[in-house]
Amino acid sequence: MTERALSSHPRTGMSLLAMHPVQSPTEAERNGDPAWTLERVYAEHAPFVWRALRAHGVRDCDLDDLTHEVFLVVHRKLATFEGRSRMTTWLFAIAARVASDYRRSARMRRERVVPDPPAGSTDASSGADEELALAQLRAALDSILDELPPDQRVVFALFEIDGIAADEIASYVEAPLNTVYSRLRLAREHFVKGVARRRARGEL
Amino acid sequence: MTDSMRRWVDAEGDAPDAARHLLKSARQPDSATMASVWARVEASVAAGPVAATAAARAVQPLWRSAFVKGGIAVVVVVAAATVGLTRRGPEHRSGEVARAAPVRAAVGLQPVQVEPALGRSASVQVPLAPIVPSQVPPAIPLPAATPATPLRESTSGARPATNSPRSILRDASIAPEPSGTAGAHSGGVSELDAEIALVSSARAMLSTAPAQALVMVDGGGMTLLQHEREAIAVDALIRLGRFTDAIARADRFLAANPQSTSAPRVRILRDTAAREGGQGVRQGSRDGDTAR
Repeated sequence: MTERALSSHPRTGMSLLAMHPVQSPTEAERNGDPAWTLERVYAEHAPFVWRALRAHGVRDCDLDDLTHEVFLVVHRKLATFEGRSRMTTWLFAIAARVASDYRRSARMRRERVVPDPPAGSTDASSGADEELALAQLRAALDSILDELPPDQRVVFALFEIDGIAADEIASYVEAPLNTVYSRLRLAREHFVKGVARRRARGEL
Repeated sequence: MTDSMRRWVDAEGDAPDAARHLLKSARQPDSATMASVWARVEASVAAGPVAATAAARAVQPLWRSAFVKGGIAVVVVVAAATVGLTRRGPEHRSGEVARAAPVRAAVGLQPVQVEPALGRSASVQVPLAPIVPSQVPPAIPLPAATPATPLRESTSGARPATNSPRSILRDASIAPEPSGTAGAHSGGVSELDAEIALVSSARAMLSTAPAQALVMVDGGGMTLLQHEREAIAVDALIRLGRFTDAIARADRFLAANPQSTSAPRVRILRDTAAREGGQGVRQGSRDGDTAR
């Protein structure tokens, strides 16, 4: 990354901005683990961070921004990562904090988190109709997930949407496996009720 | 509870049909989105700790701080126009521009080096829209122009073959890859690398040289990150005070790509352009503003 960033851009000839790879934690090096750099963390775990943010209540339209934000935190903090926990556990905790800040501010800016109907939704083409239908489904999914208690939402989203194993979820949320299953069962009940309410209102 | 709980969406799962349908509609982090976010991370990190911190905080207080700083910018610009700049002839202004840089940076008045290719060479001052770069989510992602292939699940324990975000792109076969040549694979990824670098550079230049940023993204040859390019172009046009062009370009983009992950950002920019453009038209009726 550094070599590329310091070289000239092939088209513009402009000098590209220098990157600053974060040095690996020494403990990881002692364990024979390759160096953790920001680039490597991103390459291996960016989708996980994205999913963790969604599980913590970040709206679909804000997921990319918040993923960006998490990795800026990772950039600042990576030198403090000592390798005593798994990288995913560390990232999950960061994502939880960033999402918590987001939710507090999101309450102050409801206008941004209410999903917009897709522009061009009056287009009669089947493609546009499908996109609109998909957008509506995702908005409904978001709203039902929002109704779940936070601890249930996290478990439900990671398990049902992202397919992460229950025992792994237990390690992220630092709860016993049976607690995870219990939250999942309760979340399913809430989810089914949420779906039923929307169907009764003709929204689904 | 039981260890045999299965996902609802699995074939053996017992989810009600409506619930399964909803869960399957969930967006997944596709490789184009991840590439775009990485480009933003790279740009923020390269811009230094202050910019990175600002970018990290940019998402939340978008409009409140934008309006506050926009209001301050208006007051200071008016004061500067009244007290400072009008006291000197044009021949002195470039020097003044240099000395006033810190203040200008604080209030959102940016010197813009207009590229000769645009037909002008003078250093001009362009009042920014009341959104400064760190306040706009630098750019919401990317296009669906490429297959939305889900990325490898990072929690599975399997690691990518390489340790670079580019491996994500490689895995997802985003880059066009001519067959039959040994170097074709790396060539395709290099093309994407070049576009990511170009987008990163253009985004980093938005705040200081929007004209150059516009030239970079409109220079032709970008085929993979077109949605990202359009978002940057609209942003640059606003910063150049070309609100009508910005609105037209945003409208074209939104009409063609209503579901793009860049669409929310472009909508925000379009609203900003419409608001600022309206002000520009009113102002222009008095002094010939070019916003019309």
